[in-house]
Amino acid sequence: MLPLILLAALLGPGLGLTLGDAITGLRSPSLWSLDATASRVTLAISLLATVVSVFAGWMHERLTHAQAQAEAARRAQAESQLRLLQSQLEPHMLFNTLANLRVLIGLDATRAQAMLDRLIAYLRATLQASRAVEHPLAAEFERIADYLALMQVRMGPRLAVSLDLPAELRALPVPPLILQPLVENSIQHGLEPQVEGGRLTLSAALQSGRLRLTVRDDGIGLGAGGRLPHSTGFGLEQVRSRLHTLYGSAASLALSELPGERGTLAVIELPLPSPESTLTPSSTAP
Amino acid sequence: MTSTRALIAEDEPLLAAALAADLDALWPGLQLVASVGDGLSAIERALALKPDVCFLDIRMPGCSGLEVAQALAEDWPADAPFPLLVFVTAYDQFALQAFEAQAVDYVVKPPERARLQACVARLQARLAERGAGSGLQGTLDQLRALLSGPLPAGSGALAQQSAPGAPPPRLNVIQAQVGSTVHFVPVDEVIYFEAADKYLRVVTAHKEHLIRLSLKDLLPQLDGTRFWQIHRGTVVQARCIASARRDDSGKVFIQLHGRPETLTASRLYAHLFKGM
Repeated sequence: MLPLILLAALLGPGLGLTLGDAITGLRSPSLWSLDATASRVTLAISLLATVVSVFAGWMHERLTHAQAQAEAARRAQAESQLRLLQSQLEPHMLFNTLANLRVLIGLDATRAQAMLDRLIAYLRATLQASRAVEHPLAAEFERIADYLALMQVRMGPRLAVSLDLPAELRALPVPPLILQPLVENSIQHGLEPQVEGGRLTLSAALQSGRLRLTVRDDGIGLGAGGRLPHSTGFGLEQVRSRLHTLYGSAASLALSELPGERGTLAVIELPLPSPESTLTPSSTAP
Repeated sequence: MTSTRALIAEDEPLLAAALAADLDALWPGLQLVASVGDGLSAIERALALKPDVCFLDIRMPGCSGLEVAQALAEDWPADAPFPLLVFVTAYDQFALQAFEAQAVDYVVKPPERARLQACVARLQARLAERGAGSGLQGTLDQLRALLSGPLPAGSGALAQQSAPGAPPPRLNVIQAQVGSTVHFVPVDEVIYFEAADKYLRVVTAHKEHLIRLSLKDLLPQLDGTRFWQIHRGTVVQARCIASARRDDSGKVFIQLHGRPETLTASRLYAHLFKGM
């Protein structure tokens, strides 16, 4: 860009004078005869004008480009929010839950109401999660508990659940429903396909100055059917990209099989926030 | 008239109970002989009790409703009438499309009374017109169409509704681990693959290996013109087949080049062995 501006500034005035002389029939003094004061003034003014107009054009182009980029970023963000929403409102889960609810209404209205409350809390959190950046870990555990309670109505005694959240970690901020895809994978690909079902354990701990969130199950594991590359790919990819956007390389997600045991282990590690940004768990209680 | 006997295979206990209650109200003569929560029990109980109607959930632990149907079609004794099958599903777009195209009975969870009523009426009409042994041929045709259509047989595959269409790469060599050694077996040397519980037997002329892979996941990686599925648990390399002999029940017995044992092709795949 810069060489073009210089070239235009150098050639512009000379060409302009030549063109003007040709039209008017006058003869202006050459710009290059530096002893003529008038020439120097003309040269300075036209140089300035050239630089200003070229610069204005360049700025305009930059601005248009930046606007297009911002527009593309907005679109990408909207798209990823939509994808997040779609993945969390998995139709099979939703319709099966509603089918169960329909039955419960006839059998046990009180239980049906409790199930509906869980579903409402889960749907509300899902819709909000695509907007809020962070919420307290206690709220994250509550929303996952809602989802698990819904799954327990569906799976009956086949699904056992343990949640372990130490009191001192309750207020730590985490991205909303970041654990959801991992819990869903554990159930969908680990426990649901297993005839006898199994246990899902969700826990949080501090380790080496980082927050370590763990989802483990004793289901059929990753190797069974070799279905990892297809079925769990999308949820995991989404968790990874969210973590990357928020924390760069400071956060990580690892998925592994438990050596010598059945099942799958998913671990998210997050950097701890600076002390003043800690949220109060009471602010998001349902 | 003897009462009609039904089996329900549904892994969600509430939904199973509700379907049983709805059927009880809509079909007074129906006797529920078994209600099971997984695919393997469904196969076992259905073969033992020989119900007239089976309601099969598509997504179940163990194996899917479609796999149950396949197993029943393969192993059903020739002297009993094949049961009428109704698939039940909450939300499986591909499944619904396939069923509509193939006109297999299906209902969507939760079944509305009117829809279930229509299903019951259709089942009653089909039961009234069928004689012993009939029904199986129609079911075989439908299952063949379903299994070869856009709908993969496994429940896992059903779950991946938006799986991209790119086929997995062809397998050239089987890597079979024994202890700390991995044996490399060229796919071309494999005479047949046979499912054995959670493993797959890989049989060559002189050796056999066990690998931890399901037949369902292996199949897309094989060249279908060279490797033929002949049973839900068996895939054989076509050039290794010496001869095929059909018996009265519709099964086909296969002699191999290079192996002494006889393989059995099920009714579902018997049509592959016609003379030219």
